[in-house]
Amino acid sequence: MKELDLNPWLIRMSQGDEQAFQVVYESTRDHAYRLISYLAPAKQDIGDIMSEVYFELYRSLSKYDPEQNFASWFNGLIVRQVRNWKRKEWRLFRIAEKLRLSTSKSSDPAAELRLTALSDRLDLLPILQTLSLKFKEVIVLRYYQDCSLEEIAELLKIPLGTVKSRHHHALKHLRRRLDQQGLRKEGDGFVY
Amino acid sequence: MSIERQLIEEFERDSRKCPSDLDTRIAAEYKHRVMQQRGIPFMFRKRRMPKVVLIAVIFIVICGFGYAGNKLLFEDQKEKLSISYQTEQQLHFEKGDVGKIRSSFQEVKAQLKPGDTAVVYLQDYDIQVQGTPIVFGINKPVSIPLEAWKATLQQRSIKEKLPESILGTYKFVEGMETSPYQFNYGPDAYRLIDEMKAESKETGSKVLWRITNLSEADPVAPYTSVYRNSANDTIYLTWQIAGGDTSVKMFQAAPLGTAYEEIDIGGLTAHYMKDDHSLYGQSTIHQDVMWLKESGGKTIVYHVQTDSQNMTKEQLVEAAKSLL
Repeated sequence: MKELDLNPWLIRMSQGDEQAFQVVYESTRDHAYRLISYLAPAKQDIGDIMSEVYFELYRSLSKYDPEQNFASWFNGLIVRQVRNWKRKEWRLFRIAEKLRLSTSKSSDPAAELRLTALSDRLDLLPILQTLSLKFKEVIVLRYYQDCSLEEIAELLKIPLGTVKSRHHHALKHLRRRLDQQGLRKEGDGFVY
Repeated sequence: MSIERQLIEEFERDSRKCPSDLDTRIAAEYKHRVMQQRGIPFMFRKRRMPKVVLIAVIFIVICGFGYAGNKLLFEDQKEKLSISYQTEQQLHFEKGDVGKIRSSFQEVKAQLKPGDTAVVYLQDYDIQVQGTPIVFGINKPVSIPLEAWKATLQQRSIKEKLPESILGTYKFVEGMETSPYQFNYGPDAYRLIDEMKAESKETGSKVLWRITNLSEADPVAPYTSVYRNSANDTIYLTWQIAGGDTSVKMFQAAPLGTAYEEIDIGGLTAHYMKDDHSLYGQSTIHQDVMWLKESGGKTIVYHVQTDSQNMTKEQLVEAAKSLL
């Protein structure tokens, strides 16, 4: 996110000031887009989730303490919106599944949706999408946002032990997938 | 390379950015949803709600951020409106400052036409509260004579009690569709302040002002009936009426040193405040007895207030009770 003291703009934004929204949006949009795209269940959901994030930001500003770190708070808000979206998608998927099962068996099953790699040079990020959301959250916050495991525990409101466990399993899964694809660079990493 | 290192490097290399067509969509959806939530039609560009309400001494809205060093005086709410008063340590002016600011305001007021409200930039008092600039201003109300005022209130379907006199000696003299203490600015207020700030930097001007555009509907409209005695002391009976579909939340900052007392008037909870460094009114004393009331589907903030140096708190409370 851009280095800018957002607090005055957040106050104005909470009051409905359009200019303030624009300033906050421009300062945060690329980061929000990236974080959502790493976590989102499907590429076509990114826009919808972005929209939810900024409206939720507006609604949540009354609870925001200006003493706290905005980036961290905003990350938590984004993670929650992605989770909410996923829960909504799962409900719709189950409805779709029920409808499919009750109709002809010749219908195609609901397609598995994945983000596509943006570049040939990105080997791991596409594989990231094979992780479930709870593992993705830990990996993305750890390696994209450089959060410590303690910070991740606080942000996701889960025990540190759970974060460590998810981190361990996520890395194990990614290593296995890379090995399968013959794309592992060298050596073994270490797990906290 | 470890997988951890590989992850870090890939995230760093990944250059994805938010596409510009998504910007347009996000902005449009945001505006629409915010306006929907606030209960006003989606015409964001043209019908922005005024965001700040001038009350008592200082014109400010602080959204619900908690912050240390200030005191909550009180909170009160009814269906359409909630109100919260907090003291703000930045809103502390010495007597000399009060005199300077009042004098600047009077100079600006002299240049206004009746009905104008001006936003005033004071270079020596460029203050921010929690990152939000304090917007000073002054208005020049249109005084509406007695009978015309009664007709105006009838047209607006305002049926509140309007006695011919208060405390026996204060006679009803005129009305105004504003208040000397509780008046609003247009949505252009912040922009005007920014412009004047820049101009002040360039030219060195210490006092600048601009007329603010009040053409848009106000969520909380003030109406004041003025009562005066033979010694020219004044009681202002102000109603701030919140009657739209929107629920309004007013956060008000009061100067440090504002005296406050919760009082009971005829079984109703009311709030007494006294500021003796007032920037508005005929004197530096401002006393206010205020309470919230539901009436005809609207929420009304009642203010029985005075700038008289002679009126006691007890007399003002008595005046308030007579209006119940």
